[in-house]
Amino acid sequence: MIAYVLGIIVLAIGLLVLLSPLESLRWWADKGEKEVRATFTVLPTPPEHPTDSHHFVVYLSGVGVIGGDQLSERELAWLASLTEKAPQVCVVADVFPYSVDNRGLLQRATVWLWSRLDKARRQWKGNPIPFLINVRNVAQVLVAADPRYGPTHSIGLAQEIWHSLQRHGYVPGSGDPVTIIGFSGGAQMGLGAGWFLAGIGIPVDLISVGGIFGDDPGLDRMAHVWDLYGSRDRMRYLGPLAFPGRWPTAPLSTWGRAKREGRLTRQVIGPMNHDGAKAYFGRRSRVPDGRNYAEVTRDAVVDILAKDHGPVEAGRLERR
Amino acid sequence: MVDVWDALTAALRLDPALFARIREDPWPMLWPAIGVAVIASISTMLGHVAVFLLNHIGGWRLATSLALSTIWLASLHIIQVAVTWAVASLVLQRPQPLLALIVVGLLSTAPLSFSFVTAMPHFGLMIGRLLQVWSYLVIVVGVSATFRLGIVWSIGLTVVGWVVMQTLSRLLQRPLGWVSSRVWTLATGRPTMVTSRDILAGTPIIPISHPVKVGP
Repeated sequence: MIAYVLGIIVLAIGLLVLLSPLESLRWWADKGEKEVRATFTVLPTPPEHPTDSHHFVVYLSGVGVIGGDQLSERELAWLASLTEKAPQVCVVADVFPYSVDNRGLLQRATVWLWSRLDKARRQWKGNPIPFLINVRNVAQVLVAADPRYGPTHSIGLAQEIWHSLQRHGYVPGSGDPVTIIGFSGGAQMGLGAGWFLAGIGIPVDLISVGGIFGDDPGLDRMAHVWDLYGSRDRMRYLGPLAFPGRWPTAPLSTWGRAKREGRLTRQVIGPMNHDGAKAYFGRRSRVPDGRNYAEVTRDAVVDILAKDHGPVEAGRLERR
Repeated sequence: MVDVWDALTAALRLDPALFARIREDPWPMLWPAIGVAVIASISTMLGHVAVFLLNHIGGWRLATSLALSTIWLASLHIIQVAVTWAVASLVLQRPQPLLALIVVGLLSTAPLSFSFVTAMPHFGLMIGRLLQVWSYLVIVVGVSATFRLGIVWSIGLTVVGWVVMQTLSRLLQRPLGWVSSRVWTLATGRPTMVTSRDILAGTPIIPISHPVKVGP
């Protein structure tokens, strides 16, 4: 009986993954091709949030997220603290990376499923069933990493990021740099979209926080990639394992090229896990100097933003 | 249908009894082997769902594409074993049974019945390569049984056959591409695009879609 149930679950998950490319492909066939041609033009409406900033940070969440406006409290607190410590950057965090049209899982016909799963995981943290949300989003990461489907998905995501950047005051043609912060699977999505953003003349780099990503062509267009990770994060090994282009046997891959050209910096920032209270955005666990994990992650990111794009205001890099 | 299923499962298992039967009398196995090739072709088409969706393929174009692709996939495997047959006849200096090897060639498409799985993002590509290796193993075992040779000889002959096939496809890239494209255009009135890599991979023949009209 147990084997029967497990078999059905495995089949269902297999089917979910097998059909996962259809979303972006159908979008492309129905309207994406038309939309994209018109997308990379200036939005006719003025920005909703005008800004004086000349450096934009786009945050792409991990595979547990269900919408661009559904970030966890930990992530929201972390982003608020990042904005506070690096006020010269404009943080954009309203894009759902696991969709081609920024439609969160609660904005679909299947809202009944995703909202129940989301509720279930909040009520009972060990409940394995809500893990379906992660499976669904992991499948989209695989779609983005696949050379057959990836471009379709990534160009959709890139246009949503581009729209969001303009809503937040990005001036097209200004050449202002954009730093994508990709947490977990968000790193792969950022690389895919980064290829197209760089293609329209935006200087793009990537800060991966516990990122799971492959040898995406987008690596070729990243000015620099910082791979920040915790020493207890085991999930991040999925990237080097699942993507042969990151194996030492593939020195000619985009990953190998980025390493050779010195465009890749890997850094252990602390003893973080991949997810949960003891992960990158956790506020309870602390390192010996008294900072909590979220602050350690934030400081590492602020350091990069300061070094790469000019100094942050004096004193802002001081640690407690 | 039962015969097709039996042939399919036996080929997947690399069942020596199947190849012994083919060696003794290949004719009864011909239609089941064609059935296997059709299943493999349909599955391969499903594996290329991305190309169909991106090109807005459906209806009669899908059916025509399926028919042509089935013929092409079967032909590709038959040509491969025919080249191996020619190499074997030259090397062994004795006539070899051609029909039996053609049936083996058709049955070697059996692992491609799982080609629909190659639609799976990322891992599908790796699975596709594994299916190709499996398909090659069917040929190796089939050649070994049909020609009554050891496995090492069989591997040697099929590898030489593969090299000849690669060389021929490169030498004949232009005329082959032209012929494939011409056949499609004659059948459907629409152009298509075929590269030498597509030819060797047995990629489904896809018509080029009309450009999408944009704007008001």
